[in-house]
Amino acid sequence: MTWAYRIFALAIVISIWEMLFWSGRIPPTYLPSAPMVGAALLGLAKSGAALQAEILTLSRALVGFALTLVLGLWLAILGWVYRPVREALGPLVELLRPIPPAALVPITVFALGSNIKLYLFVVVFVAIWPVYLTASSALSGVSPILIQTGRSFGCSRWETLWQVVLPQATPDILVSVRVSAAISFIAVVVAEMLAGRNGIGYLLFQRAFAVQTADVFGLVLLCGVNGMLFNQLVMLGSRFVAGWHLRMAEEVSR
Amino acid sequence: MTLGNVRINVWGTVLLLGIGAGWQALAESYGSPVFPGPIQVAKAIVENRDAIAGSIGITLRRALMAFGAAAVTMVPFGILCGRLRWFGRIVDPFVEFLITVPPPAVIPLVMLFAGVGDEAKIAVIFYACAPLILVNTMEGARNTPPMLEQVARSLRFSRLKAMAQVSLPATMPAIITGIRLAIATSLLVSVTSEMLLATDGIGTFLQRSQESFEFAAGLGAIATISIAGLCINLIIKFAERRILFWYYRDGPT
Repeated sequence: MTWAYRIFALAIVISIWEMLFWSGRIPPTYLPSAPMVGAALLGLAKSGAALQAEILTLSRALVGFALTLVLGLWLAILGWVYRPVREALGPLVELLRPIPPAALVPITVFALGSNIKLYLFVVVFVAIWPVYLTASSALSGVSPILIQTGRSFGCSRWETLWQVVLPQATPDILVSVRVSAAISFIAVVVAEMLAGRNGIGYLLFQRAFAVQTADVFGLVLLCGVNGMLFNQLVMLGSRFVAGWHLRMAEEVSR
Repeated sequence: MTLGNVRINVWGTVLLLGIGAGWQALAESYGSPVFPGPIQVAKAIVENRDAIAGSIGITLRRALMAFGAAAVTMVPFGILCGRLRWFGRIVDPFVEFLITVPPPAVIPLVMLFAGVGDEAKIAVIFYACAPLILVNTMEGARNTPPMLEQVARSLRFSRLKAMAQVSLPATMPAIITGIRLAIATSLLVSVTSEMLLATDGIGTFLQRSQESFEFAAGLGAIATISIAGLCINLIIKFAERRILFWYYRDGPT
């Protein structure tokens, strides 16, 4: 049923788009028709430029995202085990959180050069906060009764963490993981626009300055598809990690 | 630790001071203008105070204008989509797709249509804010507890009165969540758009200082953005507690 609505929505967009194009009010240099964009995407794919950019951008985003997850969760766990760590990080996080990825790029290029280190630094710097903040509040929000039950079964503090607290906090953490995945991809594209010599962000700006409008439309669509791909990947991962919880939620809603 | 009514985060202060001191010591040992310490950054902020204050003003004004436009249009639209189920179902896939296209990716496209001026930047910020408010408002309007509506009906409220006194407050927590996200996003995207479409604002100031190797001024601009963001977040938190006091008092239902 949802698919029917999706196809219907797509049909509306394409027909309005085509009507605008054929009305001739907007010159095709600014608004290419849908088939023109399709042809441009095919051309980009054939020349290998788009494929290479796609692989570069996705691999940067994925590696950065993985690093973000590991660091963010590790920090949150550390803060749960040693409360002063969590206290100490509070004000620092509030100060670093509002800094946009773009603002970091020029100075990072100077310090680290325009290579993979740049992308990893920028991604981790901006994508870590949702994971860290959500994970640390989810961990500390676990009911004390559960923790005491774990204790009375003779679990150590670390065992309680692995067997009781983390499974309980997982569903909340997974929501923030999706947010972080999206931010990772955006950060890589922005960094490529500002400092890159390759990748989707760089290609986008290059084509825009060459007024290759059809290419630009095609690449923006490609970005959207990438966003969906990332989202699906995380959903798949969540099913793997916390399938029990999702199945339970479905049972309840039924 | 508490001093009177004020709670002081000892560990947080220690960490911040420690990082500051370590950074300063490291900068001193390098002793080059390429690696300024916090003291040099503070000096650069004071030296460039007029330029920085003017730039951040421009940035915040654009963020606010775009956010305001998004809030004014998307809150009513979201309520409409949430109340009229069939309409919401048609809008859903559009939003789903728009949300996956990152705002910075739209910048080159907007540049082709609107150039690099105010309109282009406001359009990009609007594009970034609108889905956040829309999605949250829609969800809120959809999930109004049916019990509340039945109570309004049995009290013989008119449709309009029920909307204003029951539906709107019930949707308020969700709307505020969207607004909070959108305000934070508007500042982020405002700076990003200024760096990519450089004309004026703190993003452009930042980029110009880096290009002319005035790193202290560049870091000063980053610090200004960070403090502005912090203040905005605090104001929102305060306002949220004020507006939704009943929600926090009774706990989420």
